[in-house]
Amino acid sequence: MSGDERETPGGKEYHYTYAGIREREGRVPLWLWLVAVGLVVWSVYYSIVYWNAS
Amino acid sequence: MTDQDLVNRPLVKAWLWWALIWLTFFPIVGVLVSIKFHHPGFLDGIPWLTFGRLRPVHVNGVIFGSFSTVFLGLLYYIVPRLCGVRLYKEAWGWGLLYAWNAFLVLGTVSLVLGYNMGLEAGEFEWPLNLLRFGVLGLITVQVLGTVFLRTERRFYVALWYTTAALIWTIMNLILGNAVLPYVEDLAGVNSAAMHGLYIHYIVGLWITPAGLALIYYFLPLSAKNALFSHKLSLLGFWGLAFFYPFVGTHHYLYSPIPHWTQTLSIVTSMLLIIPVWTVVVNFFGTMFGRWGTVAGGGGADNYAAKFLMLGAVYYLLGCFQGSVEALRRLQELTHFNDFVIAHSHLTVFGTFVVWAVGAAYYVWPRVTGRRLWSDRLASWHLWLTIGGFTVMAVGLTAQGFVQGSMLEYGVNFVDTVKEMKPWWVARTLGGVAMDVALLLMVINFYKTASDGLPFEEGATAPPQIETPVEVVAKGSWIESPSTVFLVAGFAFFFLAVGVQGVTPWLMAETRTASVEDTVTKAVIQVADYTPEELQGRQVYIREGCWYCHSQYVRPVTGESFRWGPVSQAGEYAYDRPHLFSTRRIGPDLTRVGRKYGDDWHAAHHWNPREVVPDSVMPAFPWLYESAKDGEAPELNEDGKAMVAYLQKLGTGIGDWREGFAATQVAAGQVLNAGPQSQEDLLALGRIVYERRCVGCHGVKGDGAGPAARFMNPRPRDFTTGIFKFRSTPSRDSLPTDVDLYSTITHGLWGTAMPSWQEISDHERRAVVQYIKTFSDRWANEVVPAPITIPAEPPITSAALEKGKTLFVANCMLCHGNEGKGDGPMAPVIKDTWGQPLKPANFTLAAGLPGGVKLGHDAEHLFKTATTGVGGTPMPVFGEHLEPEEIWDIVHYVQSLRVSAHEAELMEAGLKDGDRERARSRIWAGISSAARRGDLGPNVIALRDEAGPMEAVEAAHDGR
Repeated sequence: MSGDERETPGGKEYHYTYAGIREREGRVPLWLWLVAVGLVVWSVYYSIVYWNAS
Repeated sequence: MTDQDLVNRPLVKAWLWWALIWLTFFPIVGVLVSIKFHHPGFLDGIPWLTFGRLRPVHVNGVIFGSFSTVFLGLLYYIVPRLCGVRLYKEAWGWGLLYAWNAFLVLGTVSLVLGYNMGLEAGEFEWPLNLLRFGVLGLITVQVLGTVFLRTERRFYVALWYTTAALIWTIMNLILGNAVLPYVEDLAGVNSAAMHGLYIHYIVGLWITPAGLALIYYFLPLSAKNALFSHKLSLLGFWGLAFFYPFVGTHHYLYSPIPHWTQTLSIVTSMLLIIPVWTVVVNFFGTMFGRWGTVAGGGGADNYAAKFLMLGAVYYLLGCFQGSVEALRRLQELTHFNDFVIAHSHLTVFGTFVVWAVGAAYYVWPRVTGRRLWSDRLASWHLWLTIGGFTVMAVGLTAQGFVQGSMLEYGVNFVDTVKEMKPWWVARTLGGVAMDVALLLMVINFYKTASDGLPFEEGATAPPQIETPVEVVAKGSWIESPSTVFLVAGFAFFFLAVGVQGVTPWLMAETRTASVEDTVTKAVIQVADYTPEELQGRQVYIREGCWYCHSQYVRPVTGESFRWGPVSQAGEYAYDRPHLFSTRRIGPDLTRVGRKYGDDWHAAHHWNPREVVPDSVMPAFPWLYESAKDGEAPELNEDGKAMVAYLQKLGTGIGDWREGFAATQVAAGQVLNAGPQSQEDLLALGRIVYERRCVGCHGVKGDGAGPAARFMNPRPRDFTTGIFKFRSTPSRDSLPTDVDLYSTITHGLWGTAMPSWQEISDHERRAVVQYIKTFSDRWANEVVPAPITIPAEPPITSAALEKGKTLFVANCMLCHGNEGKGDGPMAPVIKDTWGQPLKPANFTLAAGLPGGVKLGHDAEHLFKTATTGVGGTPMPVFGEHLEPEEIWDIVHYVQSLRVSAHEAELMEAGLKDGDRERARSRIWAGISSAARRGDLGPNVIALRDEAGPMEAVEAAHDGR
């Protein structure tokens, strides 16, 4: 026996049978992607400029 | 299969009973520790209750006792339910529970007894490490065994974190408990670099993923809503797994650890914002539509959700704080101070302990079969936690900025400690509130188990979904146990350890004992510790001195002006383990060697507040022999060894102290201000005196302060108005204000009188005026005009020869033929007060006992020879010798130190080719004539092929 996956009004959802937990497939909000990309760009810049500097 | 069939409830309950004990005990230790900050006399003088012994009990206890016991116990609840099978080798759980508690009890006892490995978060001795490793290893086997036997096809995010946390920690314990302390070659900066990783893995790769496992499991259940986003779970987990292993080096920014590894740790610390915000969005998303029910609801599940979301808020704040404090500019201000302590409490307590508490609220009714006894007690628990923790976290953050700003502004270190005391009182009150809250929880849980109404799962169970009719999804490869196990667990871990720990270790610059001599800029070698110094280092580790005193000077916030030259990698070549430390409750000790005399250390360790009234340091009476009546207690073997170790610190980079504090000050016009302004300074001068001088010089200024009995030479009796070093001409004449200011600024080397250049110019001027009130002489006598010091003539071999002749004729009787203070009269001379007196040994380095007290500076020596030394038989040579003759004596005396200094450098590996340049620079450091180039070539040139010592002799002879 195992859990199941199904479409709900909130999107695709998985149900863990024994734990009773439901988990939506969900999404990553656009603003969070922008934060992530921004931080990665900053990291490249910082690494280049301050690689060996204190 | 029912829940009853999957979970061994008595086992989970037993783990949680013990967890409740540790949840209250170890935070209470934290309150005891906190009280010592503002009332250092609290439980003082008892070896096993000092800050240095209790601090690791609190830190390790909260991590491994308070939090981890809950987590490990709840694994016996979570893992079977997520896998759909009973736990693999479930019966081991009982033995592991006893073994885990044995580790916590014995570990606590060992720490208070002083067994300490000297590595933060890695303090336990090997038998305890083995016990901890064994328990976690077997639990890992149980969890992995269950995972691989599971019937649930999908591998839930809580299990990703659980699996990774266990694998990471098993490897991290090997790193921190087996590699770090025992690999001989892993010393100094490499020990620090590796330890930075280890210490942060305890936080980032143990309690962080463990805590996330708890909230991912219990939030959807307690809030009775679906987890918001599986995609966010993936981004959050893999972001953490990739970035976190690199960040540990940010504990030691601005240290001599290679800068590129520091930069990598900064970048990855900032990138951690991605997974942190990701998981927090996931948690808040999970609460959509449920806020009202949870916030307004009672019962165990709603309180579980409240605590879990409270922890999520703290997680957001604490992790953002952690990321940005890794930025270099912010770290300049906040590292070593309470800002970091705010961060550690926001994460370890505010987040992970609070999550563990939330999880326990959810599980307790289910394992006891009883409904939560009191919503009111749970509410008090919640709000006392919020109130107490807000005071603590906000206060600690703010005071970190306050202390950092004060230090950057140039305030004396002890003054910043004094400024912290009211804040520390608030921290204690906050901590008491948090501990009372936990006690209420324990009472509530106890009453739940004994008197609670029967619990029915159906009443609180999440909405059931009909049996599936579609094909189940297994999940992609990126979330499979094997990927989590191999890629996150092993590959990323080894990648980070390889880049951040092993690569710098392989670099020659980190594996050397070579340093740049601060005076000559030549390359020299640092000497290894003597057996006595090594013993002292062990005492230093045992007493936990390193929890309050760092040992590296950063090139920022004026630290090199406050404590001495910036740290170099080679200085730490023999430090196993490193003692960089992460906290400065007391000042940095990198350069403390030769700053104070041994007598000052003896007085200070006996009762720190007798010497420094604002100190929060514990007393260490067990480092002394039994005191005889009326006599100062003497250091025992351990005490002497520790002082020997302290006196060694910072001395490996040459005689930097010679030029560190100014002997000459050019503030005469300001200091000799009019009578009204002098009077205005008296009030401040009294405050300065009472906070810095009274311990030795006494309330009446008679040199009979409480610490005076330890001092040799005795502290100056200000009531006589006699001072050693003056610019005024006749014997025992009153000194000028500038003279007193110079002595206060510079200190008197080899004695208990330290340099006070750390306090403000205004304070030094003020205390000069206050000191003058102790003697009537200032009211009744005129301070003579200071002597005029003629321009320093060139230093030539002829002048040195003449100076030697004059020295033998005038100085030899006391100072000896070689200027070592061992002339025929030396054993019998006494000062004005009848105390034995030892003539100065001119060859000794700055700060060594028996050497000169105010430096080898040419003008200072000229002044001293001309005016004599007050209160001693040292004649006023200005009455008998011409200034030119005194200059010749001064230059000869200086040449004695130059030669001795050169010999010290030769012993430290100075190359022959660097000797002339070195000698030239040594001269330039103590002579204005040498600095302007008036240094005869014969004075510095090597004349023959003689060996080092012969060449030094030749230099003495001016050949």
